[in-house]
Amino acid sequence: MMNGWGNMMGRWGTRYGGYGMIGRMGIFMPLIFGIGIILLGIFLFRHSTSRVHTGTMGKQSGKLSLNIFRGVCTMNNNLRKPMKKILLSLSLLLLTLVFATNTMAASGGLEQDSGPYHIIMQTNPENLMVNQAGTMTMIIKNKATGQPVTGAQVMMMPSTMVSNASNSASMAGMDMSSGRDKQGGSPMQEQSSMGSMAMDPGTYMMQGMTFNQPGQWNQAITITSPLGASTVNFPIAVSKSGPNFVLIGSAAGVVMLTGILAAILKKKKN
Amino acid sequence: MPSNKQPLNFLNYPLLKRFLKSSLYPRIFQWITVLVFGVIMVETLAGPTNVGENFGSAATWVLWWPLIPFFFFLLGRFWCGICPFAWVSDLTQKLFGANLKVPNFIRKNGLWIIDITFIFITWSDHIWGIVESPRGTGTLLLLILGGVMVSALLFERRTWCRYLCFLGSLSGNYSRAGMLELRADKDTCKSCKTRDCYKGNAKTPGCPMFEFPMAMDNNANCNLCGNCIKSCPHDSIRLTPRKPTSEFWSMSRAHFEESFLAIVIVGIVFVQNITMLDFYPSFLKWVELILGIANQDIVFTILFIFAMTTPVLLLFAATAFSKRFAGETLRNAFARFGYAVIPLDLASHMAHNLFHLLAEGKATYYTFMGLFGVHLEGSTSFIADPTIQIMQYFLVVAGTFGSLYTAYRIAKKNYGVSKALSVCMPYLVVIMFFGILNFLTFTVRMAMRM
Repeated sequence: MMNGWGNMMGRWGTRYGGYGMIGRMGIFMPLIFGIGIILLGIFLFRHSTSRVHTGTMGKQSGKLSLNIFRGVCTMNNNLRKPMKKILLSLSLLLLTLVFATNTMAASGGLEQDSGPYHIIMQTNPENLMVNQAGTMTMIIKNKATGQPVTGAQVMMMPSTMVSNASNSASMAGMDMSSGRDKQGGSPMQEQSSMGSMAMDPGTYMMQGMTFNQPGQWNQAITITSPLGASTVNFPIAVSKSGPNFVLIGSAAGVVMLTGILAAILKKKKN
Repeated sequence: MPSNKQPLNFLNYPLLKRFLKSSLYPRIFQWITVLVFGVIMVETLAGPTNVGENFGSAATWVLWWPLIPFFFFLLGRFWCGICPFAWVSDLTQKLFGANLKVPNFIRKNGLWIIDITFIFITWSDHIWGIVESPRGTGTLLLLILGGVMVSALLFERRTWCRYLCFLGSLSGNYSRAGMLELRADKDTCKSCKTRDCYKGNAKTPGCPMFEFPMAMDNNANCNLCGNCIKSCPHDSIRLTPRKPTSEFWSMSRAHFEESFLAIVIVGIVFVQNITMLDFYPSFLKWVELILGIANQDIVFTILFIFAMTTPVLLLFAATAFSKRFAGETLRNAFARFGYAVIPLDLASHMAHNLFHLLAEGKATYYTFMGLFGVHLEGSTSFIADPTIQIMQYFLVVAGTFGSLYTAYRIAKKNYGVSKALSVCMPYLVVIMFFGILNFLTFTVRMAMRM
């Protein structure tokens, strides 16, 4: 299920660099796909209209049929421009939908049931990077009634690393800006608003969390309220903050291949 | 009675002419931009991921992007002449280029591809936060660099800059409202046999933008690279100042695609403005509730489509009303009057980015010092917000009046004085509406980029 608080801070939510690898790669894959559709559409349309012209001319003879042909040609020419515009508009719409779907797929929060609670968790940015400040937001609801749980004590426990992307032995863990309690947990603050924006009831937030290593982390959160106490675990993927070599390599690869093609064409030309 | 007074020609200044004719121009500027661009690329692709610490992001979005519309207004497409991508294109082509003819498809549909790319990039900025993410900025620059190199490897001259660069199209539109023009003296050119300005000669290549200065009647595709100044054996080229926006009412050919982009930019600038206002998150949430769609990105996409299509539809509606008096086809009238919104586009773009330049400009210096390990903190603004706001108001009002005047002059030129007001009235109403809407967005404080 998609929830309505994806990217809670709206446009500013991404100012900490919410731009993971999927997003980065996702930018140009649909772009290429969309432009491909447009090019193909226009090519097919042009191809089909030129065939209509030739076909009509080949079959018709005499003055009357020539006039009919003229009519067909005029109609085709008249139709061609609006059709092209319609085709382009449709392609644009399709393109937008493809992107929207792509984004929708990438922006879903994690949801879990734990004890009497239904919890939705999201980080901002969605794809956290090493040493980059992020925000974790949770909406806690009563599993039975679907009502938001307010006034609960929500503790974020020290996160543990499940797998280390850099295979480093060090596990310095996660830092949080707020203080820890005796058990080493940090309380998540209930938020009713953020700036001028009202938040859903039952929203708890932890700002300024940073991870000092890339890899898969496990985040345990304990919730205590009159409904009872429960602990829930969420996986958090932290990626490296270095350059995206896949992207750079892809761009360089395309340029290299084009360079080879250009060299062949140049040789042929000479 | 026609005036015999010759317009001021900057090329009559010997020092400037010598500089423009020398090999230093535009190389000396290109070297600087290439150097800075190299640093920006490295920083955005591999530097700090926090936008507030990244020099590449600051230099791109707080310095370059806000300054560029002012360049277009004052100096036409001069930026395109010194653009680092153009340098990369020339170098790649010189070393490895196959120099094929530009395919007809690109020549005919280039502007549409640009229109779509421009809309897409604006949309994706809001969805993926390109501006707020150094990696996003790096990705965008890398994709542009890739596109530039691919087109330079395959096709002749600066195919990318002329037919595919989304910024080139924007600059083409904006520079048409600008104050500087490069033209050739038609009388001198008539007797020319060599056509060096287009073909090039042993010393200087031909026009990289596929333009023939003698036939050039607008600024859209002249990047002031100076090749024609260098190669013309008859000193036919003139570089003259002119009244801002005068090109729109003196031009003979109107292109639907260019007008379409101009009117789409109204929507784009509006989206840029409104999404940076304090109340925007609450507004987005409200729309979510109204539409019953629980995903902000989808809601934004719907609003975005609405914002892009509304100005187009309004201009079409104005054209439909105006058609009664003009007696022209919808397409032709739309194409003709679409240019009238460019002054407002340019002014709104300037006003929006003026805030980033003046309220966040120092971030460029702080992050630049960060490259050398010097950590600086402090206010990023040069002047107080209320002063910036007054400047924004001034720009939007000036842009609105510029657009209103342009619409009137277009009508006057094409339909005569008697019909001018009735033909342009629907456009004046629409432009006024856009102007007021833009003005209102500047009454609310904007969010910062850095």
